[in-house]
Amino acid sequence: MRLVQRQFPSPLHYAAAFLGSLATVILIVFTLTGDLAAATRALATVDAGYLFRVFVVIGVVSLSGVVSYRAGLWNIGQEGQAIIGALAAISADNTAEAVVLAALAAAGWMLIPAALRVTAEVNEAVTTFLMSLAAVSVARYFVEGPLKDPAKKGFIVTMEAPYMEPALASMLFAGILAGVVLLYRTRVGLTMRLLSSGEEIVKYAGRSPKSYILITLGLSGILAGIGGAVEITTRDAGRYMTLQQVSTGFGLYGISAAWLGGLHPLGSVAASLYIAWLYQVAVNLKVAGLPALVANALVGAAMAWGLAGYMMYKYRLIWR
Amino acid sequence: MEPLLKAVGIRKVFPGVVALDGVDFDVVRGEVHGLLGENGAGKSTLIAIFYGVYMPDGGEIYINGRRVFIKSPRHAANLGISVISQHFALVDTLTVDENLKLSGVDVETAVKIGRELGTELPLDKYVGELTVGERQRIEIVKALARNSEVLLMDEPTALLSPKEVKALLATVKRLAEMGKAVVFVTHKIREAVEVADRITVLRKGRKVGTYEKPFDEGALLDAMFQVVVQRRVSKSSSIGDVIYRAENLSGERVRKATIEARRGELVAILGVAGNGQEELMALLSGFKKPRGGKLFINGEDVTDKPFSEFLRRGVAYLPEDRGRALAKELSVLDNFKIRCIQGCMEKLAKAKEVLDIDFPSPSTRAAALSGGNQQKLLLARELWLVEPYVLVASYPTRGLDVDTAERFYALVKSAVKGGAVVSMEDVEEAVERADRIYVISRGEIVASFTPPFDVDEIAEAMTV
Amino acid sequence: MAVEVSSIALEALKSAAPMLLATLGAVVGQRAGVLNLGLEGVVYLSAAVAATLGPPWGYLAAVAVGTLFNLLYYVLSNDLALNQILLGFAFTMIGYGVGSQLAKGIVGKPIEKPVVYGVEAFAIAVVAAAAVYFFLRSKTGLAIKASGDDPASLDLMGVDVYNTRRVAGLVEGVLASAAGAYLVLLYYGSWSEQLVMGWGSLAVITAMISLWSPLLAIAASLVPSFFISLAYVLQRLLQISPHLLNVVPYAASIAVLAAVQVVMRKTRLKALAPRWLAKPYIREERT
Repeated sequence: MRLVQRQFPSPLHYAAAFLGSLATVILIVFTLTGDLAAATRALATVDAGYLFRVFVVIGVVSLSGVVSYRAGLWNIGQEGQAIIGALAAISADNTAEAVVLAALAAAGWMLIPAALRVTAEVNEAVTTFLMSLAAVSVARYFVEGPLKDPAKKGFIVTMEAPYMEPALASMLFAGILAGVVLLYRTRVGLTMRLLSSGEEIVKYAGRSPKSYILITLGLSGILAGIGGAVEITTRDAGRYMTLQQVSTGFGLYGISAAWLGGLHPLGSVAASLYIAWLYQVAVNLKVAGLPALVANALVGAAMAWGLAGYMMYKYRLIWR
Repeated sequence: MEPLLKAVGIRKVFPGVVALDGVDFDVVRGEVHGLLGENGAGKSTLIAIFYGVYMPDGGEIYINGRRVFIKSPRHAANLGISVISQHFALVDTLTVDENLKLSGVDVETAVKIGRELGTELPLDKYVGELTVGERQRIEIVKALARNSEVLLMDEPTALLSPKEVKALLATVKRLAEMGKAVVFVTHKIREAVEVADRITVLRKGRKVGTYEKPFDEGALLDAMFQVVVQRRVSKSSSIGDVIYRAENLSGERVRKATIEARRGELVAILGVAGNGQEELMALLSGFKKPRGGKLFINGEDVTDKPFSEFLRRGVAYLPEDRGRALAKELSVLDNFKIRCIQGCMEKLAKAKEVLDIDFPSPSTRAAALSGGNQQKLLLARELWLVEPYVLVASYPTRGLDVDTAERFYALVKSAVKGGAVVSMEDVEEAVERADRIYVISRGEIVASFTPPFDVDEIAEAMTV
Repeated sequence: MAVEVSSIALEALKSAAPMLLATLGAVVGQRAGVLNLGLEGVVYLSAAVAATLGPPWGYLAAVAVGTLFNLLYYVLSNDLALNQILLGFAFTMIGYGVGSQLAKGIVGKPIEKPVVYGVEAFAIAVVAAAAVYFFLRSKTGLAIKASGDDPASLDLMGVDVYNTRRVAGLVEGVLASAAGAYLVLLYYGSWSEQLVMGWGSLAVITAMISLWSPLLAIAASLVPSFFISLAYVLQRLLQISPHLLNVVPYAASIAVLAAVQVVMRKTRLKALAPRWLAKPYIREERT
């Protein structure tokens, strides 16, 4: 079995990857529910408003992934950065403040992995992942402590985050998308992409690789943080965190959408819609009694297909 | 006599280029068969196919008359084929002893064979500590210890000093005497003539012919090149004042290098590979910071300034490792944009024409281009587009066919506004092209020559 | 105070055993050049399997399932060259998902747990470390080291790089899933969704701290375990929020890794790092 480079990269294979992912998802759902009717219900039930909201959140987080991976940097801590962003949003008085605070807080959270990567060359995938595990504990501390809502006696719950209209959220998303697309047309964006071919070549181009690593990771973290803020502020009800409900899982979804979209800003938007639908399916399954983490299995499988698509786009498999 | 290894009609295609187009080749026991051709002719590809690294897209291979499909290096080894390539099958971080064990070679046998060949194997040393010649000898011993019948040697003299080259050629003849079939790949006619019993010439992926002794060097030269290339000995007419000066530069391998380049001058840094040239070029270009010493451009001290400052002052750097200068994953156009600010599509199209660069479209990944075309792209960007003041180039013509090498020197003449410092491996090339030659050995500049050049004197200085 | 210190130490040894086993797995895998972030998922999944089936079958099943899962990762990331880091992340998510579903019936139910002394358990893990040490010096072990430093040369030697890495994946899977089984059946004695999270990731980082040496891993694995136990004990003594204390092992491990890397780069120890760590190896790549 060998991998041979394609003469012309083939985007058609992304379609194949998408179909593969779809097939796997359907298979998993059928296996888990064990019942044709229940499975179909899980796959077909859709709440449009809810789906749209989820699509916007995943879309923002997927751009965090695109920015990072296109530069060859491996930020996989979006989940944690989103949690920190949500915490910041909770402490804000209005939506504008929520977004700004979320960006700042997430940037701060990203500072440690970014600084360690730049000074000690510590692998950022490992640090961001560990920090996203730590973020859960940090959030719980805030739920019990500084952000606890004193009015809700007997319930351990944070204060409520301000409400963001879906229209506002979609404008924010569109703005971020436009920003990323434009970024890649500039020299800064070009240099970020150069980074994926090595730090030396950035230096050769006359820029500082360390600065670009910091900027890129920082931007990636900020986007994920904003995603977390948008998530909590666009909820119709329950714009707070509890001890049990800290993690939303959108970090994983955003990452998967980035890969399924071929690490292309517009592609990942399309993929975000698909992943949003997967999320809806997972929610339907949860209502049917399956544990929340099952969603992870679904989306993880989808991402694996996204990675395979990326591979198939560049390489041909030869069995000999 | 039935050939030990025979190939008929071999064809191999890579994205964007036909590397081999219907090539026939064979080698018999006890023979040294030279495979001659300029860089890019397809020699290394053919060897890689014989060694199972690539699978051919067409043609057949026979061993002792039996048809075979060589699927992997392991399979090739089982079939009795060994390769001694420029890339050694030796792991730097393991000892010689460990490397032998990994290759499945009995250590005692290896030591015995080594003695037969006249060398003592340094079993406890890490391969990373050995010289190129020493590593090569281990490779040969491994091949013999595996009872290989066919030995493929791909440009074995590339990194050897003149003395080591002599020793190697003698070893090759000895191998043939021992009854092995040796395929000796080279682009140097003189070497092929000295050691081979038969010579096959490849040109642009096709076999031009197979020649027997006695060899006619002129005929071989004609076969290698379509047109007898006029090697224009282009020397500068007017040389001005010193524009670039390095004083007592030192780094990890470089110990004390003092170099001057004058306006209109092409300065060559000559030395056997592995004496610190690569680091010296990186230091001279400002890409790497020196541990000691100073650098002056037009009399101004630029030591320890960032690389961007050197770029601003018109220094262009061509590293030997293209990965430093070319982003393999990005498109040709994106790579061009590293130095191009405006109107890049048009400029790229123009450069493609002027330098005859072969690529399907501007959005092709740089990694898909052949080595030669990648180098041409670099030249287009760093020389043709930028028109630098000072060029610092590390082995810029390595792996390039004569035509492209010629274009490089022409470009240096036309596009470089000040002077050039170029490191080279070939004494003849240096004598032909340079206005001044510095010889580097063990990290130090040991000699400096101005015309008229005495080739023997220079070669002598290299072996110090 | 002496009582507290010795109780922390004993607690640390108990948790150091599974940490050492998982770390040994990560050491072998990383030596082969593979940065497997899916190890977290492997540990989680095998723990879930062990919890669901309970002793004695739980042990065997956990190791079998975990090893196969890990092997699948190796095939996808090496033979098929899918992005190592992201695939590992995906596998961890899949591991969480499948594991939590499998073990959901067992949540909260106590599992019969034999009394295990920290010192005994750790001693067994140390024996495993010694075994890995000798394994890495065997011919296969040398091939593993070569595949992490210079896979191209290894391939040229005629040793199949992909096969070598699969062997490494097998060994890594066995060790990591043994750790997972241990965690549920011998350490915690129960199961909940979040219980086993983080162990696999800490093992990945501890392997780097131990500079990929199984013998150093013995000492290195005490670092996260010490901090895990410290957090546990401090919870009972001090008024700091238990949540913040949970962050301590992560913060400490990251800090230690950073310190180790800084020292490593300044000294000759740099040579110990597998040069091809996390870089994909594709045989026909034309440069």
